Amino acid sequence: MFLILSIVIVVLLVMLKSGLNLTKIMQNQQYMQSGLERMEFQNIKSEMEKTIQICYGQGNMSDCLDDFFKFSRESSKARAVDLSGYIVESSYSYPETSNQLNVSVFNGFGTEMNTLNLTLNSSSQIFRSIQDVSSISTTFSVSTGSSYILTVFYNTSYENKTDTVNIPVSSGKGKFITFFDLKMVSNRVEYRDQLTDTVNLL
Amino acid sequence: MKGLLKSLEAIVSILIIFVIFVVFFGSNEILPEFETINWQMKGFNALKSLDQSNDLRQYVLANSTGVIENKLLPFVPPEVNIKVVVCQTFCEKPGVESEKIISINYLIAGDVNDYRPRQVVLYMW
Repeated sequence: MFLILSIVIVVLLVMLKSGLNLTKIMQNQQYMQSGLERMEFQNIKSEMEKTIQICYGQGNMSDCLDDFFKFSRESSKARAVDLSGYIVESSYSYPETSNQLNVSVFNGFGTEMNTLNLTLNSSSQIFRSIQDVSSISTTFSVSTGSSYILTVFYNTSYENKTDTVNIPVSSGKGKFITFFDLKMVSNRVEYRDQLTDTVNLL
Repeated sequence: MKGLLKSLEAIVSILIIFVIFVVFFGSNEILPEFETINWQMKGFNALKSLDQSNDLRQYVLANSTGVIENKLLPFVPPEVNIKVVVCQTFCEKPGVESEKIISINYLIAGDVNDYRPRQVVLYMW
């Protein structure tokens, strides 16, 4: 009688233990934590875009963007989260009077950019040894009414990559076109996203 | 004799249950903490809502931490205490003694024509 009762209790204990799946509970916790980090990453991306609008009337939008990237990186670093990436900023104003496209590339990869090759349609420029948190600037000739593709090839100690940015040069108004490639790495997750933002200049 | 057998059966049964209990539940497994993650989620969403209603930026730039705390209170569980710190890159500690304290960081680039990057750190305990 006691033995039968003990077997029933043992079966119940085994069922209770198998129902208490700790691995799954911990996975759920990790999932929730990574969701919070995703929200933080979205906050950074959204503020990067807002930085352009905030600095529009203040002067140099490129300087603001580079500065905000550095600020975000320092803030993330304090929480053991690594933010890296690069920003391509291109602008032109009133193509009737100026046929120059200004291009800046900010390196925020946390390591040196060994080679950077910028190609606008058939015109190409090569830069070497761009240090972390520094940028290069250059210009390309453009003509009104044409659409251009800026091809950016870079090489770092851990990556070779090519990205493209569409640059439509329309008459009557200038544009500030920004391309971001941002990556956030914590001890739980890794997020990487690319976005392009275009602002019409008056 | 019958009574002795019954006693023996009872002792064996207790031993079986004890052994099984120790084997299955004896290891010191710590259950993961969910409450503080929920606080973080709620706190972050509260800051986001305040930002979407265009209030957060002006309070942050004016360093009106008390106003931000009052605006956030309806969004956090009633038993939770909060403190808001607005800072640039390095933020001061809240000076709160609690075993269960969490922080949420929300970044602000500034407001229209006023580029002043700030961190809003919401402490909950």
